[in-house]
Amino acid sequence: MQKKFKKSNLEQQVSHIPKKVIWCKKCLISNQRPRIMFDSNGICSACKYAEYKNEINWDKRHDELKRLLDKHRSKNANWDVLVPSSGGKDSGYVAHQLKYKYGMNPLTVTWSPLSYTDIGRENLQSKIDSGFTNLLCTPNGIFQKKLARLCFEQLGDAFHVFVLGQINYPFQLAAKLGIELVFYGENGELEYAGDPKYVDRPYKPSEEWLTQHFKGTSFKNLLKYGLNNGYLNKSDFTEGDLTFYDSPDLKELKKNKIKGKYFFSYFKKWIPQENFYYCAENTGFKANPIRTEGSYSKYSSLDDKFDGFHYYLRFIKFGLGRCVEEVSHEIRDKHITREEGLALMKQYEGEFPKKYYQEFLQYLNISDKQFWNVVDSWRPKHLWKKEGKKWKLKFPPK
Amino acid sequence: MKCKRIISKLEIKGPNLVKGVNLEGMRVLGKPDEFSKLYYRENIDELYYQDTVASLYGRNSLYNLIEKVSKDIFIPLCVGGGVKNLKDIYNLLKVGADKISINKQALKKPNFVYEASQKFGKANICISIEAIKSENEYYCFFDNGRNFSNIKVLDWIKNINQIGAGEICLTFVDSDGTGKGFDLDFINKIEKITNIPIVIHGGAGNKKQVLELFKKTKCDGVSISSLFHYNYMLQFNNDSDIKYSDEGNVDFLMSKTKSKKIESIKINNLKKFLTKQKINCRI
Amino acid sequence: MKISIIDLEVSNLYSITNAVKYLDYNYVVSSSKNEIDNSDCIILPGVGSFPYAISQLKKKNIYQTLIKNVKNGKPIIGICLGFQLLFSNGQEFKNTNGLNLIKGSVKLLPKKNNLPIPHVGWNNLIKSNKKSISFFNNKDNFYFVHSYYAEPDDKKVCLSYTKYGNFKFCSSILSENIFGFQFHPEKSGRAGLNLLSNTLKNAKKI
Repeated sequence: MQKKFKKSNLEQQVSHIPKKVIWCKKCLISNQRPRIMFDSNGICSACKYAEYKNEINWDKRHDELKRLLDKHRSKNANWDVLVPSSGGKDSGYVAHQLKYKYGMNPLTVTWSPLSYTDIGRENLQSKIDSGFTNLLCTPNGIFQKKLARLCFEQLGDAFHVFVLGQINYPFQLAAKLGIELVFYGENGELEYAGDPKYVDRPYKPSEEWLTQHFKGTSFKNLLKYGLNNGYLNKSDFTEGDLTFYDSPDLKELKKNKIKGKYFFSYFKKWIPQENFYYCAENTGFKANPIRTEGSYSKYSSLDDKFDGFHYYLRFIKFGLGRCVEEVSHEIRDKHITREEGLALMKQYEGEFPKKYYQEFLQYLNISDKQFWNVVDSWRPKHLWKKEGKKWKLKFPPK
Repeated sequence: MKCKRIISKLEIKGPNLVKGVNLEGMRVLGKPDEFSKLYYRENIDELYYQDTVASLYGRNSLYNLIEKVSKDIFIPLCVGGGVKNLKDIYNLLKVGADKISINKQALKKPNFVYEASQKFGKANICISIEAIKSENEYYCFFDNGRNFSNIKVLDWIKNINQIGAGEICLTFVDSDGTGKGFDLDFINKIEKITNIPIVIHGGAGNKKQVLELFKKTKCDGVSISSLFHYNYMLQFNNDSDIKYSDEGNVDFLMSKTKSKKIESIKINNLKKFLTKQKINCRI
Repeated sequence: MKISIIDLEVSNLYSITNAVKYLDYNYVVSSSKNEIDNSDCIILPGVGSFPYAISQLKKKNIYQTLIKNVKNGKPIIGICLGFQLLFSNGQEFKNTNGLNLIKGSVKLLPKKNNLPIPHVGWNNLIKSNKKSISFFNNKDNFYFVHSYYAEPDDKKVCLSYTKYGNFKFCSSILSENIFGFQFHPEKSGRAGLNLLSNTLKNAKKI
């Protein structure tokens, strides 16, 4: 399958971003992030939400959590809550709290990263060793890799293939096992984009999330495109292999009384750094010995070798890599100043993830030249300019 | 007879004393000057100060703090973080530092250490090593454990032998903030290749571990952070006069919770315990 | 009593000035002949290397001033490197002449028994003459940080010895108006402040 790379219009996000770049005056996110909003003072909606977080009556939210859990707690210690868990600090915190503080009986489920890092596996095992049954699903390797290449070229993100399972697998399982409550950690749309639709809502209804997260294209469309354009052959997969990539039927979810994605961050003030401390103390979580490429932290997204490429492509498509997300959240948490954030961005934002680059090329079965062809095809003209041999952002953060 | 040194390391970020795990996370535990004075009263032997964001800004920002604490604290103070040239060293010594700790600049320009020793005296130059285990070997890191130097710790120490330094402060980043103890075998390996005094940091969780460190290795001193900070911060809990900055990760501090995994211990009690076990300490 | 604290631009003066201030004495930080001449007591602190310190003394034209003042009876307190400078010569990096106010040499600590050099840390003082008691106690520990030690020709000037492993060296001296400490009293906590206070009281009487 060495077809010359030709772009479809499966991807629907990049075309909709505003052409004028504005950076938030408080944090360091820009308006290029899909679904973020800016007010007339140049403050982003995520900052607004962060301020609002300080006004929330967390005691009241805590009572709500207790009532919700009392309603769902199994009387014979059967699984009563499903926690999608990568083995990372956020889901680790949620699972541990649900079990040991609130007496629930969580089942944790993991959708395998594209390629596990050693520290990722270690942390998953540590979490399991702190008292959890865990279901790990690793999809068909042949199909996954080809699909990843399709996503890389046509959606500008190989990682999308992971995202499909990451969202759908837990709900498919919840329906199959009859677990009504599915608990996530943070509501990303609220914590990082401040989507006002989700303020004061403990869960995102299934109807809603089923239409989001997919960069504007359904799995079925993706599959069809892949088969018609030489990315996939029918022999690469069976119907069974497709099970967890696709969304569960809404009717199935409703039948099993699965309301949607519950967010722990609705009930408890969400501070990712404190989740790290909690897990270090309670689930044996270890930070990555080496810094995550593209950012400064060592405790976020450590389980997938190819995670860096998701953020690198994001940096290409929106001018926003991994560092800016972490820095912005920390600024909103008042852990660091904007000045410090800028200094961190200067050092780490947009850093090329070279550690696993060769492996990534092998995974996708492409050459270095093909890789850069694809990457460059995703650079919006309004964001990038070429200076000599180097690409530079037209409007860097300030 | 010479005593084993009981040292506390204070990691500083801006106005705050912070403590991470594996050098990650900047949880605020209180005010550095208050802790310094308290530890001095509690008979700590020495204080090490580390500016955790110095490398990010390319400068050490502890001048004001050191100037302030050295007015009332008459024990050795070692200061590190972002020290790049002889002027930096001079300026820190001038405000009250006794020893200067260098990591990144030493790795990048070993000759700088030699120059500093020549001008300021070898005994006042401390080489700080952030050791992280990768594929069964310990490597040197810098920028507060963020960046990798590709230099093995043992090789670096052999090099330091040639250059000369007053002491080496080795931080086991993998155990930092976890209270899980020290890699005694590795310390023994280091002792076989150098005579320079070694201070060990990272992993002290209870008094037995500290005892074992002194019984099974020849290290000169132990540098302790979490074990003391989490204990002594409780003393400030009821002090409403202290005005905390709201900068930084202050959630834990504000919640006034007690850390579960830390043994309850005071500095002098640790020393008395060690002395009873025939480890000479300054009481 | 006015104390002049010699500034050689390598020393950690802040600690010694803080200690002197804490003990409530007047002082001036100086490298000027006049100020030294006009002071009642000299403190010669030290952090750094012997040859460099001597060259600084000469560069600032106070090498002779110090010798003259001390020979005229003015009390001088040498601390650490300052203590070593009082002697006839030092061997750090290269053989250099000292102030020669106390006959003896400054040598590198022996590399016996694999003990690390420099000698860093807290150690106690063993009394070596009747006067010692008025300065420190047996149980006190003081902070040492040095690679070189001073060996006075006349053992009678030793106020204390200190053992590093099996090696015994002179850790403080007293010879009429000359006081010297190998360790840092200004860095030795309460014990150090007491010692400094006792020393200054003695100096006052001179």
